[in-house]
Amino acid sequence: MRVRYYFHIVYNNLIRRKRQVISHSIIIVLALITLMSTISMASALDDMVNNYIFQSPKYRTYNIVYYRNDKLLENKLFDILSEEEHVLEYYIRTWEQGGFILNDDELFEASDRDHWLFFYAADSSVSVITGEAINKNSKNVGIIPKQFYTDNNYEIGFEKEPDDFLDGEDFIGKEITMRFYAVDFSEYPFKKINPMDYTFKVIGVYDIGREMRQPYEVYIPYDDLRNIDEELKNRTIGGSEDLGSTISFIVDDVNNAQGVFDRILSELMVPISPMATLGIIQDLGGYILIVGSIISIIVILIALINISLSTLKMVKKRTAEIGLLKAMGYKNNQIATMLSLESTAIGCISLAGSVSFVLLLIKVLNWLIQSRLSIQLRYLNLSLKLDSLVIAAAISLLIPLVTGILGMRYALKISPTEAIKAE
Amino acid sequence: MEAMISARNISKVYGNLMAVKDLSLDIGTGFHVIMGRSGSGKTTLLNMLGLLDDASSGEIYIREKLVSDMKARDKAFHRMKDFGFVFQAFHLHPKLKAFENVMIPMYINPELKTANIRERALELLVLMELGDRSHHFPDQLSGGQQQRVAIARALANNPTCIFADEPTGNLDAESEKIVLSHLKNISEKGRSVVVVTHNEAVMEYADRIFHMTDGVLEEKQ
Repeated sequence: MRVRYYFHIVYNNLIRRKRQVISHSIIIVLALITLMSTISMASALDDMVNNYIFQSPKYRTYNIVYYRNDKLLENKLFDILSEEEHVLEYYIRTWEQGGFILNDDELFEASDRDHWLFFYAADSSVSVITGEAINKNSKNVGIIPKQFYTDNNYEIGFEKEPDDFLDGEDFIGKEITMRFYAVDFSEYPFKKINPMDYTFKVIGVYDIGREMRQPYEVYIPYDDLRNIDEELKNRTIGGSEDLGSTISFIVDDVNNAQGVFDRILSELMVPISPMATLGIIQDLGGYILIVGSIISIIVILIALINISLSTLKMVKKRTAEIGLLKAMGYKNNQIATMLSLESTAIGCISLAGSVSFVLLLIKVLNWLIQSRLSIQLRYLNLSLKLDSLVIAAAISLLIPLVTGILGMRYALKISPTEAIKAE
Repeated sequence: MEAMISARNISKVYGNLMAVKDLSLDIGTGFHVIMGRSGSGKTTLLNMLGLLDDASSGEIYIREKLVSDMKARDKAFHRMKDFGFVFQAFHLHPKLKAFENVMIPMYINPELKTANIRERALELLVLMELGDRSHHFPDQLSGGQQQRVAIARALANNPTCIFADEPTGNLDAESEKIVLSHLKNISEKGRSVVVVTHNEAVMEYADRIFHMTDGVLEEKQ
């Protein structure tokens, strides 16, 4: 029998049992939507974590803490780190400092709050998006966030940033004067004492989404920050002496860090810790995949049982019709082909429906992410992956074919005399 | 008269019940009527002659060729090529137009070209005086019209024999006459028509009348 005749009969049979086709398709679509959405979300999270978050300098930086007077160990660490091809840079860490902007009247519109900045030592990994970078000879310069917000009570989370973020590029060329305080630890409550001022010129801006920073975090030259740190220590009264020292090193890729760890641990037995960790978010993609897959499997099982029984019931209703076809001379393989094509058509309809829905859902979710969630989540980009499409296509075809087996077996056993019996 | 279909000593047993008892019969061209009460075995006989069911014993020939011991696939081929069936319930596909229903048996006929199938279907409907109804759906046709579409469908592959089981069972008197007239016309054009019925009005059209009682066939003059 020619292919077009099969399609003609199948098409009309599907029209005839529209309601059943729709209900079967809906069940399969639900299973496929669950599956494809799960894979999309899990892989988008994994992508964001592995390709953006973990590639930011903050997450590629590791700290080694050691006794500060152990110069032998310190030199050995420097030797190892200089030999390691995956280590981009290493330095003795100088501690970050926070302070208030003194000349805020010149820089900002009138406001009733203090303006606060937090300083990090610049290293070569900081990406400047506009302006100049800091080099080894730089002094009294700084790179501020493009998304500039000087409120230390604010922290970027999941929600979209407030509208009153400033554009850091507007500050390029301007000078910012900071005031830092030492602390008197001699009696409680501790007091801020002996202020020191530091002025820097803004020479560039960086992207806080890419660097995974807060909107008040500024990079200044390493030597400037070290000088501030040492000066404040000199002005501090009381407190305990810091016996430890920290070397920080940056690797080119988080996947290459383990080799460096293994060598340092095996040769020097010193602990290494990452500067920043993601915590539960790192594994969130995996959890979503597991939970989503379980739900998908349950829905698929329900689909298999439900559609199997429904298909068998439908074939039984068509006993006379199938008997008549056999009376006319239709062979079992032709009947089987027709039923299989009907099942395949349902599978194709389901696949098309579910892909359309998921694409729309992805579009909406991506819009929500970009418009409603914070800048640090802007790299969370959902998409329909090819592997999920392939899996969905396979399932959308297998479910109807597998569920049609019971009905098919019944249909093939129908005798041509059934057409006469069903009067 | 050359026998189109011959049955030799055929029997059909269901458990302990002998539905057809050692029956021999020759079917040639013309209008044949097999009458009998319900349960007499007439439908069972029709099923065997039409290769819809296997005889428990005996042989069936089509134009002197033994067919009763063929495989199911070959029997299906003979049903397609040599036979047409008309049933009491018309069994038309509700979502296909009249001419499309007539085309269904032609889909599996390798001797018919695609271009000719539709044309032939329309011709058969004209023959059944349904030329103006060829694009109607079954629910737009009367019972008699639907049965005529079923007859046209039975003629689709130019069979030598039409088997009809109670073809007028669901029809009013006027439609009954029209349908039987058409079957009679078919039988007068070199085909065999075998009608199984308990309706005595059919006898009027018959060339040969058989009576079936408890599995035994007897020809009436």
